[in-house]
Amino acid sequence: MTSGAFKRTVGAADHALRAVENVLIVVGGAAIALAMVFVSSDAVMRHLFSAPLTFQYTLTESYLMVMGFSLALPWGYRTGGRIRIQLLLNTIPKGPRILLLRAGNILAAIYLTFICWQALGKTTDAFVKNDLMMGVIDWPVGWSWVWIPIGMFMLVLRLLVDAFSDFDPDAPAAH
Amino acid sequence: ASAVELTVVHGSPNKHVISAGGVEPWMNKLKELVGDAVSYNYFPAGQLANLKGLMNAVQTGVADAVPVPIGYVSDKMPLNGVSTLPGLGSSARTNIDTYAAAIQTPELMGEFDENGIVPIWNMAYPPYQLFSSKGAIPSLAEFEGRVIRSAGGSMNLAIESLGAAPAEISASDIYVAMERGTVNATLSAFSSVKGYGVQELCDAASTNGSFGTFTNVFSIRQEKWDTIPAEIQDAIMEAGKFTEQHVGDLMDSDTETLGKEFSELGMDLYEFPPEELDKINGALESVHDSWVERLAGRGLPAEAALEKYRKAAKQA
Amino acid sequence: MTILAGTLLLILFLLLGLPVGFALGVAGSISLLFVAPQATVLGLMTEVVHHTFANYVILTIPAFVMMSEFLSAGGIADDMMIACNRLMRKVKGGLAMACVLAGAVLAATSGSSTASVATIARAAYPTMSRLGYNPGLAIGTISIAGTLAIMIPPSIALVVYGILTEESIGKLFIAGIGPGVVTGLGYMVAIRLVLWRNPDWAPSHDDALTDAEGHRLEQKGRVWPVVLLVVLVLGSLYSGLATPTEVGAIGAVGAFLLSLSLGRLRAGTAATAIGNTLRTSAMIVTIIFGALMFGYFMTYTQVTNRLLDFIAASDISPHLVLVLILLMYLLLGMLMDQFAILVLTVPVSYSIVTGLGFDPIWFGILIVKTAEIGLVTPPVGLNVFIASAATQTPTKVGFKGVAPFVAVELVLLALLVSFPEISLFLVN
Ligand code: NA
Ligand code: NA
Repeated sequence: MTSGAFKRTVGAADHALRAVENVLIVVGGAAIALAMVFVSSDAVMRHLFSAPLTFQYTLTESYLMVMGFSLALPWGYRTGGRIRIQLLLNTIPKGPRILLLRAGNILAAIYLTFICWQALGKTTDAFVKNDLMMGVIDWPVGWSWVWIPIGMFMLVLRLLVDAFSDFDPDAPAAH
Repeated sequence: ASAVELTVVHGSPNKHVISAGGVEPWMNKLKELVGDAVSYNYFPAGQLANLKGLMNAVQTGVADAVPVPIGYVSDKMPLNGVSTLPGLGSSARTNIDTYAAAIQTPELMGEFDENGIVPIWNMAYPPYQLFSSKGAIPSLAEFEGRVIRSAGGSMNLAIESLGAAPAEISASDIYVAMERGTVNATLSAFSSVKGYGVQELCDAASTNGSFGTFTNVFSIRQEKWDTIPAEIQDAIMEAGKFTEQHVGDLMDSDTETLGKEFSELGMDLYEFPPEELDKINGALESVHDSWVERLAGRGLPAEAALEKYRKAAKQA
Repeated sequence: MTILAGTLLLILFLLLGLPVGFALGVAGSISLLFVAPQATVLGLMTEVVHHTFANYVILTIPAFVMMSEFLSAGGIADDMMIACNRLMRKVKGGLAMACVLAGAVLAATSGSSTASVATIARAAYPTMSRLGYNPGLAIGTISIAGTLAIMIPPSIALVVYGILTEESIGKLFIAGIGPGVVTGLGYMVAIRLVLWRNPDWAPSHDDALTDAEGHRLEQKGRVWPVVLLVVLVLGSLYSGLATPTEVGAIGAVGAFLLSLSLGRLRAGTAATAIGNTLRTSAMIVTIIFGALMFGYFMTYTQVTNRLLDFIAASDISPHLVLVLILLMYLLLGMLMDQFAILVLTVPVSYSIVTGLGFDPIWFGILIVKTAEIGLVTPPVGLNVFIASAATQTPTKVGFKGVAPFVAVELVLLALLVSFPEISLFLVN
């Protein structure tokens, strides 16, 4: 592949990823916003009418929170939700610095791939065995876990695409 | 090096009865029986896994042995949840003996096999009592409309069957929740109530209720078990028998001494009068029905499990 | 030896520019491979993320962040900061001190310093920066003000200490009030000292209400909405409407409704507010599960128990033992997550310290003080990471800016050690 074709491929991948990331963040945002509403309503119902929303705790903890955090990972990372220590970086010339950052992305992608793979195993296991947690209803365990492999997979792709894109290492949020 | 090296993991603070009354006495007893043939890597107090994560820890090999908290694994071992149901025992010793007998039935043992773990010994708490911060709740009628803290799962069903509303509150929030009156009562065993620090906020506790219990089964991963020489396996089981008696007696005598301690703090320890106790236990019966109904609906032999558990409880 | 190698690996990854959460996770995972079987490392990786995300208590983070985002989106936070500055304009550095006050008020509603620092950062930094505050001073103030949340009750750290040691959580909470107030005052003294040395780091009262281009900054509304919200949040907690975990959600919904009813919120800004909440929260939870992976490694090395055994075995005076144990906490605090430290060490340190006859409640307060310090010391200073990330400022600026506060914190720690009454006078 020529370097021009390679750049175009990476650019197209970046474009496609953005579209998916934007959908995921809307779903994740809705989940977290919904959690706030449920938690507040539960407290008010409990306090005023002694009638708590008994489904709220598990719904929030095991589903909405996992969904919200996981689906926010790739979009959050792309839009600057990361913090790195610039102390040494700033003393390194731009060329090697970009290389370092690319290598860092790949290292992080490997770490997250393991996490993604392990969580995927747990998720498929829960779905295959139809694991149900007993509560006010039978809560399906798989639907609590599935968001993690999705979010992690998209984050790994984002890290890899960034590792092979042109970027300005001086911009705190490159996108 | 030792013949057997066991990585033991649990999720409770070191002073907690699971640790101080169960896991550690078992480790010491086994050491006493086989000496240097066994050695431990010991990771207590949630260092590697919390209560919810113990099953995963033992299945993935993070741990060789963990006390599996049955209330937190209703997805993996739903039928064993029978051991946590209300109205099935009167003391830690009877609860433990009941479960120790019932665990040998194919319904309950099957779930251990499916999950690749071997049950060694169990510790069931004495039956949950009702701890309240605004005076006693001595009759069934007075449960109506109350908000009671619940740890979730079948405890929700028990609270609802009494006409009260279960509020699930995180363990770390219970203290403030009771202090501020978010909830005015919680179900807990005497031996574990101190873990939340709420004894100083409660002014009354029942002593003859049976609102369910919390059970743990100390289990070893099957793959690991198969590598252990037979005579050490026997010693492991013997130490298990010892631990069941030890922790049962400990929790029962704790209940007594804690009762005295709490009385001296000014807590009102009361018994439900016989006719009210009958009404309360009658209401709690419906928890058994819905438990059976829900699991049977999924094709699980819940009725047989409950039947055999009841029989074991009568003999204990 | 292993512990040193793992720590160096972490520092290396941090210096090479890996984002903090990934650096912790990668260094933790690689180091773990040298002390634990591969299956164990994979097993820990399976659960670590779900364990972090599916945790009701973690909800405080997005909740309090969302509350401040809606306050900012509606311009209400701006109004409050401008009003605080007007109120304190006679005082040099009034806005920085207002941050400390805001931190104390938030601390009384929140038990989590992470949530608290993210809140103050989002609410205060834009205004501070526009008014011409030195970025280091601003981030330093914000990072340190957030730590008040674990000293002033309710405090998750004190709850954890109480549960680990079976000490009365109520007494611990009461014991936290005195040190919390002293700490807040100490931070204000630190601000005065910094401004005395560097007078141009904060605007003087003449130009305080103009922006960079010299335009006058005007309040667009009154301050009462913020007061109302604080009353709502504190009221929800103290009336028993909501638990410490839930109260943030009430604040978030309240801030949304307030901005909406004042006509200060449009669909676009509301969406931005939720997006900002998720960006900050996702970053924080990534750091938390990374810190957990690194914490597992520390667990396997048994470093904490060894240190404590060593201290216990040496033949020295009780007070020196206490000082050594606190020094150990300061050292661990530089490297590890504060809750991991508590869980790993308290069972042993508690038995040593109470065995020597020291007051257990007081010791809890001392540990929380070291945890406050650990939250802002490099290389792993969670509060500085979060304040820097929320404001898009380099961490170097934050660590530099927080240094004078750390100096004051050490003095405060010495005060708390020398005068147990500060902690205990309300308890007894
Ligand atoms: Na607080
Ligand atoms: Na630190």
